[in-house]
Amino acid sequence: MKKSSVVAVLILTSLVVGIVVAAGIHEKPSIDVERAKEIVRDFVNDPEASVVYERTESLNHGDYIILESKNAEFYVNVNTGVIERVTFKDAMRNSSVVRLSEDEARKRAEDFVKQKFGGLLPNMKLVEAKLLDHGVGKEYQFIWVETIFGVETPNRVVISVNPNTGQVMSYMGVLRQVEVQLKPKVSKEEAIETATKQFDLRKIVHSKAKLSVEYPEKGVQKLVWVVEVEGEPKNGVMQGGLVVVDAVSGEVLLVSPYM
Amino acid sequence: MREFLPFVVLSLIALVGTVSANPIADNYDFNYPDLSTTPTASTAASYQSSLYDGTSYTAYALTNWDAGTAWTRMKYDAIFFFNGHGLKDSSTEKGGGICFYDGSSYSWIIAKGSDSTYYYIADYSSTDIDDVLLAVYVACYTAYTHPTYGNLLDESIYKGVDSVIGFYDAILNSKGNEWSNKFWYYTAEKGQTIYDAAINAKNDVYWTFPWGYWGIDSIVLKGSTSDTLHPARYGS
Repeated sequence: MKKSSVVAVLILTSLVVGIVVAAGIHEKPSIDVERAKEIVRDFVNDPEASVVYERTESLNHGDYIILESKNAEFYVNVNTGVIERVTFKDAMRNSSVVRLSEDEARKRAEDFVKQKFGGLLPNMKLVEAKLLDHGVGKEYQFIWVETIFGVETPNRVVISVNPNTGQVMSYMGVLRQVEVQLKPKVSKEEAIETATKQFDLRKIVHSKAKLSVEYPEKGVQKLVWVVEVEGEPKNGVMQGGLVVVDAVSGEVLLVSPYM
Repeated sequence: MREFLPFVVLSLIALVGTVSANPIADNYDFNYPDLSTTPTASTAASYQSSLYDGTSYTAYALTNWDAGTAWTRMKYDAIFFFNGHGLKDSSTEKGGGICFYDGSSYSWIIAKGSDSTYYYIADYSSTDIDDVLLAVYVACYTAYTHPTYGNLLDESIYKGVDSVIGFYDAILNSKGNEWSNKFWYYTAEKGQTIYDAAINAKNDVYWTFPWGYWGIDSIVLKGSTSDTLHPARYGS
């Protein structure tokens, strides 16, 4: 094939790919406020529910239209139309007394997950179940995170249950396609060593690391090591903190010291 | 021009009178050698100076101020907001204090004690800080009871502060800053109660990078936390 023909084929291919990509982006479902209101009404099973627009928020893992009903606030994912977070304002009241056991509260949380999240994914593990005492109020907090090959994915559910009334106080449910390889090129030991170097520590009290798929930038997934390093206190303050290390390149993505 | 001078002077006096009549909000953040909590004080001050209902606090962003000055100023505060280091000496000796840094040296406000190098909440008279509507201590272990230095939240409430917020566990810089910014947004701009704003800000923190609360869910509130910050006012 002549050189000019090769160039022509390459240009043509680039054009076709460009058109396909552009069409894909164009066709990506996008939810407007009116559609988001309908989605909320479906969620609460009340076609007449009064729902008002509150604001929009852009986060690294998604963009949201935030709507309010009389008793709740809803985060509707702009691209998927999925309600990924709800706060039930009335359910936050009268939470200082504990009437439910942790098992009873977890049952309430699991029932809610079945109804509104479609149930837990096969690889979702309960990573946290505890009663939080906020002084003037309490909440049972349950967190399930999908773990594949030892890596925590973005897929997770966080639910708080009122320990007095049993009502769900808040819900967060995120489902994303994992777009990155789950095999790290940086070892756990290397990640901890990199993290330790970010602080001026006299002596390390403890360190731990876990693999996670995170969104360090808008719309960009990365496989990272989330490393916690604690040093001996100095001048009366904690030393060390959290370091996020790119598990492929070894780049330090975040240093967040203890306060 | 000369004939306008009395009018200008009177206007300035009136303006100063109006400004100083607003309740005061003091917001402290720091550039420590090992971490920065700036510009959370200026973000807080911005929200406090323009509340949900149109009223306002005379709000100051005070970066790298010392504990002695903060301790004295608290007597005139409606809102006291601290975002910085908390106290930890060992696994059991923690809590009860907040660490100020003026760019060269550290100083402390402590709940109670007797060492003359510190400034103590317990040393306030019964009326010194009873006009404080809200004290927010964003730092590690500010809700934890130190075996010697006591508990910042309890001591503040005991001295008459209406509402207080602290954290029982260690917290991270990035998450503390995120919580602070969201808390002031919810309570000042959206008009939410102190409790709702604090819990909503806590929930927001979970899904910011990296996933998780990292100690922010150990938040503790005491006092009249069903109150709002509006209208701008002193505590009772």
